Amino acid sequence: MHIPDGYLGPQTYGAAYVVMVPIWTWASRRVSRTLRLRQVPVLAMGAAFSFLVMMFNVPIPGGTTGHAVGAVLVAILLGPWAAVLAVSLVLLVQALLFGDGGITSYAANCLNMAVIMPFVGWWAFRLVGSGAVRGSRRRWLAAAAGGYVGLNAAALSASLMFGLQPLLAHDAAGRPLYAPFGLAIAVPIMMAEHLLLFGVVEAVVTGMALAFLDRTEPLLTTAPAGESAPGPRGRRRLWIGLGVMIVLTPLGLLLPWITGAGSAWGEWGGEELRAMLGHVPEGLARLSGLWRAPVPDYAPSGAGGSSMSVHLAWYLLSALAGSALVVGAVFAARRWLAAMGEAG
Amino acid sequence: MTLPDWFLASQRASAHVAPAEIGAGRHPRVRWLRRALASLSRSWTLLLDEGGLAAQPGLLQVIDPRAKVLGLCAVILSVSIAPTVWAPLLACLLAGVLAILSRVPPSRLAPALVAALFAGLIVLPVTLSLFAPGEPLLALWPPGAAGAHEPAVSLTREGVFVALRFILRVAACTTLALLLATTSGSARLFRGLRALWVPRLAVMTLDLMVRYLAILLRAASELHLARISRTVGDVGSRADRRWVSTGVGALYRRTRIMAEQTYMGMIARGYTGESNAGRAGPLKPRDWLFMAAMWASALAIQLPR
Repeated sequence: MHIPDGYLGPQTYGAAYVVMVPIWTWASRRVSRTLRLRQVPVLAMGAAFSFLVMMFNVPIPGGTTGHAVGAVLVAILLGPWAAVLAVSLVLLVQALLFGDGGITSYAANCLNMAVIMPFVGWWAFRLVGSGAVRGSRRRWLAAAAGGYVGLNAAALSASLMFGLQPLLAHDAAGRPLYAPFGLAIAVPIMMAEHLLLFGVVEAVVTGMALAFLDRTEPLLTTAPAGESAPGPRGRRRLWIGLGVMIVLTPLGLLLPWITGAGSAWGEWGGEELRAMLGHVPEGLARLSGLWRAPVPDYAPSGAGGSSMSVHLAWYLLSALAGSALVVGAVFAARRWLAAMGEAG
Repeated sequence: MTLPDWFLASQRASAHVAPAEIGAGRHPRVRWLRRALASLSRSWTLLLDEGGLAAQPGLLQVIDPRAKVLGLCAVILSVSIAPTVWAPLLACLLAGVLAILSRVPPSRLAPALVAALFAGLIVLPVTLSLFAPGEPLLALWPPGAAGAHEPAVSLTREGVFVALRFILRVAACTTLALLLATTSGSARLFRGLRALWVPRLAVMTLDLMVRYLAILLRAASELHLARISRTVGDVGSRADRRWVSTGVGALYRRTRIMAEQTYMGMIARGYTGESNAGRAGPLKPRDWLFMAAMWASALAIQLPR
């Protein structure tokens, strides 16, 4: 997943640097707050450990081997912000000393493997393993799920970067300047090998390494202060944030209405396509009728000719109902997994 | 820090014995362990050796790492934004000249060749009319179908151009990055990163990481070696995977213990959280000259259209 120099255009790697600089700054502040004086040796060792995890090959059925990235394991053991810095340092050493991963693409590699992977994996671990007892089967299953989800999220991000290159950078004749394959090829190829092969390796190493450490050195697997699950104050902030976002949802209708913008790119309906192309493609017309949403366009079918204020009210109500459904599903999944863990 | 020759020789010898000469390694069950051990051994040797090449006489070796970082990164950046095939080609030539003047053996630049070959493999379908239409350059199938008949599969002019540009760009950037690494030595190279506004604390952490990486690489090698020595017959994939996980866990335990000991050592020596890493002196005229030459090259390779 290490993207070498030459695969990404300046639009992509430049944007990755713009995104990564504030993340590195914020991560340094967070880590110095939680690790304090221990920061330098703990980070250095965490980075060295993360480097070494990549050197442990795991045999895969079929005679081949793969290796884990270890970013999710480092996130679980040291906290996700420390993982951002540790994996970033590893990627810098790999790029500068071992020629593995490029210098121009360094920030893009960091975004995939040092930010997306540890954070998505850590959140998946917390979601599945919330409340799990140390050493329980659910805890290492959660770590395995975190490793699997984190690696595949990073692979998806890398494949999107590759797949966007022909769209973002081409010469006057339309020939691609960088990675030559579009999204239709880059995403399936990259995701197939990660979903079927490397994700499983990451899950096995992350889950079993945590199980081993839980059993032998339970004190080492304690999350650092400040990186643990949010307390009552943190939870209240999350609920307030969710409420603010729900209240702000009508902006999604108001702004396009004020600016006169059309539908999002690629989300055109049949009428819009007819206006643009003069006809609706036959396959699209046939498939678009396969499923009728109960609340199409976030308002009941009869509300089509209503005023903007009625549309806004329905939009707000849809945001409330959608959020309630998602939150309910997460709580239900947590209860189900907790019950499964107790049974195991 | 330069390690004495007798120490390097003994370490190199012990690092090389492991993967190739273990009897149990011939068993297919432990072939993957041998591969991992060889990879660990390579990294270990590279970490010990890179100071060696950086200490030898040569053009890039005498240049201040800050000037090298700024100069070579400018060329890499220029290659990465150039739309022509000439820019990476000229950058490859520049890298070749720098390698010769710095007496860098071709074997140290082999990873660049591997990267270029891999890039070629990835981009290969683009050269075929089967995947990307274009003006036929060479008929591949059916054989001899040129002229009156349009060949079913052919190399296309556009595809070959795209592939060549892509492969050369990867080769040029990787070679320049490797030149930067092999002629600097990790400690000097990391200090050079200060020229790119990398925070002092990050440079200090990197330095510490690389120093202890060698020790931890040795520990990981010993874990693999012990496993190979104890493996008799077929133990099954499940046991293999369990061993990898416990190995990773054991290594983490060792890194945490080492981090704690290092921290106590730093505290004992008066560490208060402030980095006392020495400030680098001013750049010499030859460093400015090298930087100017590299920036001029970065601009010059943009000219041919």
